[in-house]
Amino acid sequence: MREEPLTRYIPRGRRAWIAGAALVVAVAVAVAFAAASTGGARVAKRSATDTKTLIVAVPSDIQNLDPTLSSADVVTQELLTNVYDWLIDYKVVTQNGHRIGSPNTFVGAIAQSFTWNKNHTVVTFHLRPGVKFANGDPIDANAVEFTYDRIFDQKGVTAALTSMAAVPDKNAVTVVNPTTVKFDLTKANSLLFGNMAQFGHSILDPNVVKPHETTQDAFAHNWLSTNIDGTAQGPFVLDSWQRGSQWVLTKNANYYGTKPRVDKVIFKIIPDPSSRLALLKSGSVDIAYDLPLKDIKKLQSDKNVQTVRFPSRFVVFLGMNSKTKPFNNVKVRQAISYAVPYPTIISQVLQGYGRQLTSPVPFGTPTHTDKDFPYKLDLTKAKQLLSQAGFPKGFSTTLYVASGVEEGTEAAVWVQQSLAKIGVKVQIQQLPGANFTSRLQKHDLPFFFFNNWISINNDPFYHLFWLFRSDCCDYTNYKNPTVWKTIDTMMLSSNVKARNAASLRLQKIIIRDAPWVFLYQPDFVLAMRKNVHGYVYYSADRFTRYKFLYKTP
Amino acid sequence: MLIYIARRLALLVPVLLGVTLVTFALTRIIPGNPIDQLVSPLASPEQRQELIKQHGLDKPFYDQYVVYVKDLAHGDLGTSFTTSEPVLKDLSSRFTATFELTLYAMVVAVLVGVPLGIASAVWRNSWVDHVSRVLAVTGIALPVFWTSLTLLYLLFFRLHVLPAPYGRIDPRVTPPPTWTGLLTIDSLASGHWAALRSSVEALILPVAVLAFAVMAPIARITRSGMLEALESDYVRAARSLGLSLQTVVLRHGLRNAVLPLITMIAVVYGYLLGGVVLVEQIFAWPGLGRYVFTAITSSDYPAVQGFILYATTIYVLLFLLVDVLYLVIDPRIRRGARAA
Repeated sequence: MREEPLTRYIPRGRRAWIAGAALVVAVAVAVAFAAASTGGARVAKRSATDTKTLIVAVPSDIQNLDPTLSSADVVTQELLTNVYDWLIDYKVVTQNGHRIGSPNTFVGAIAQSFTWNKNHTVVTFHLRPGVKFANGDPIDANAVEFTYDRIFDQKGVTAALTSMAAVPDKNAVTVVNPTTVKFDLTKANSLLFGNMAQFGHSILDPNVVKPHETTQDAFAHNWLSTNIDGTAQGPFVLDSWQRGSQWVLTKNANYYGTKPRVDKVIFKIIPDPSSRLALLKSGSVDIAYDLPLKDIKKLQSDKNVQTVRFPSRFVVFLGMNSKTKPFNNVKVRQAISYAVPYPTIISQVLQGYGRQLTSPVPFGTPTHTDKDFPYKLDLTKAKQLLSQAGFPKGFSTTLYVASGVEEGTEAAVWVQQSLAKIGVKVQIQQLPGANFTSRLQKHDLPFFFFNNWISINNDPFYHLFWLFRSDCCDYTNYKNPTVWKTIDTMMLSSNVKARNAASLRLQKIIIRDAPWVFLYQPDFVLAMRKNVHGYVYYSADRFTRYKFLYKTP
Repeated sequence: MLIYIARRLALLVPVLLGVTLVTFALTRIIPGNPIDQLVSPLASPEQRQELIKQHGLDKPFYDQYVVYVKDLAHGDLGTSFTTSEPVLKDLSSRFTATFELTLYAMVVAVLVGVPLGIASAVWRNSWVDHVSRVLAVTGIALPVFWTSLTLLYLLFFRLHVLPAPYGRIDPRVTPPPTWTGLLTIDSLASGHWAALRSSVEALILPVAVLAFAVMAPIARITRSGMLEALESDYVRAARSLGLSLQTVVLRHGLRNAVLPLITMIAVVYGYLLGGVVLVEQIFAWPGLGRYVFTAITSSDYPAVQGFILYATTIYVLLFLLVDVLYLVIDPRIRRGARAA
């Protein structure tokens, strides 16, 4: 081994040359940090002082903006709710000292008022005089007709929801005069307004949309997927959209209703939840979406941050597929329902932000009842039921959770531990989002965690229809003939008494048959800086209406 | 040399064709239906069918592939299912974000890593060498998300030294007009000083984190290359002739150590382009990594395929550049190439 340092032969003075180079690099880095430090401190404080701009940290980008065929994510639908308006809207009422958008009371929006005929089969909308699109075009009966023609021709979700409420096709919507439009119902019912007060019914400007219609794309879907320019008429317009980075709403000067109190709302995409939390705590943003509930709980001690909290109508459950063994046996489903530690899941997974789901019809929806709800953690009873079902030693099964749904994975672990005590060995399987959704839509998941359902229309039959009667969303293949028949007869009934009684009956049956393990209803929780005021909760869709929010210094 | 480059570029065509076939098959084998991600679960079966037809997903696999390749020949990578924008446009705008981040990270890593490597070779087993070794080991060992979060907590949240992780630029600062897509260059060129300042501030932390992670292999490969060169006969001869330290180290040592270094830089840069996802996630950087992550989770076939094509092209071009640099730098290889 030869160990002769190269430097031995070099005059001392020259060594300084390389050392000097290293020093220069080090100094440069230090200077860069120091330079940034002076600017950085100011940057962090800026948001709090500007009271005309709100900055919101959101987890993901907006996607498909066509109101009648939009993507199903919260930020997209919330954007549509803030830039578009429709004929009627939820009434804002005061309840327990909070202002909320009532899901069951409706007022005129673009239609100033509406009148029903005696039989409740014709509703006439009187448009607001002088009301305009953001580009200045008048919103007249012609625009309403164009909108509903497009809705029905496109045959989308909105068309389905409208015809569900007995407005069968576009011929049922007629122009009476330039400011009056009439809807003819084939049957009097109580569903129509609840299905209409949402962004799918956004009134579009024919002068703007029609030029983008092509032979391949008869409904200008491609244009509307990425544009709202001109055709918007809500409180805000989409001022700019930098893909993957941010989008900005600014006040619409032509808006007829409650004028926004801020000039600008910047939605900044911050995918990492801990970054969103840090931004909120430091005052770099005013509102942060989708924070982990553990962090929300810790925020209670932060004097600069507040959380608004309201009960939601989300139903979260473990689906048990009646088509697959052993869940085709009602006793097995009941046994499992008796073996889940409900309060523990609510306190550990939800950190207490929620309540137990005690009926297929959630708390907050008319006719909800938990009078006959028997399920609580009772392992003796669970074992007994399992023996009666022919599984005295239990069985093995797989519980499917969509990956990335933290809450699902955590709940699944509690379920796994508890079910092990009655001999049911649960393997938890995470499926990638797209794969989970596909299998869910095919109704072939045997045992799964589901947390993504809220019925926009706050009506028990609307809710039960989608989850237990429809082709799309009866994810557990429950298919009970009595339930089907009752839903079919009561859906469009205007006999309130009979309807309410039937709803109670159905809840009793479904609770007994236990197609789901009824887990919980999570609370809606939103974290914002203390100086943000005016929040109004709309329980129908839990989307924030930014026109109400304002900031104090 | 031009013929050599042309031949290599021509080889790109079959490589890309092969890649398209594999990714095309792979994206479709992965379970999950893109249509489910596009529309509300309440959508009617007819409407789903309509969308399936519109995106050409009703045709057999073979036909879909032929259509795809035909469009590719016209420079059309398809339209993303989720963003409804042409994939090429999506990729280009995200690429500039990732490129700006990784370029600066690479420059910093080379500027710090190479001198560090040289110093630890020249003063082998001295404190410089030990410090360099410790830095290299920690750089490799610490996961980037950990360094990111820790530095962010310290420098942004506690000390308020650096701005919030808003992404490339503060949302209240007007960005410069797009010219190169690199915010620092664009704001410098157009004199948007506020934008320049904001984008430089936003770059400091992610660049530091990435540079720290990739500096290690660069420093180590420089050190071993330098050691080999410094122990060679020609360096001993140069030393005995009394040449100055910088001449011996830089001209005779570094020049010979630079070949493996260039390969390493290319490999590391490739790794950077792929490994930047976590850093992009934490710093809300609207780059390629996040784009393709979203695309994969939502079965956005055209976006995933487009990204892989893009990445392949970049890799192939990068290594072509390395080979060309070899020819330029090393006369022995040049002669060998000519003889062949």
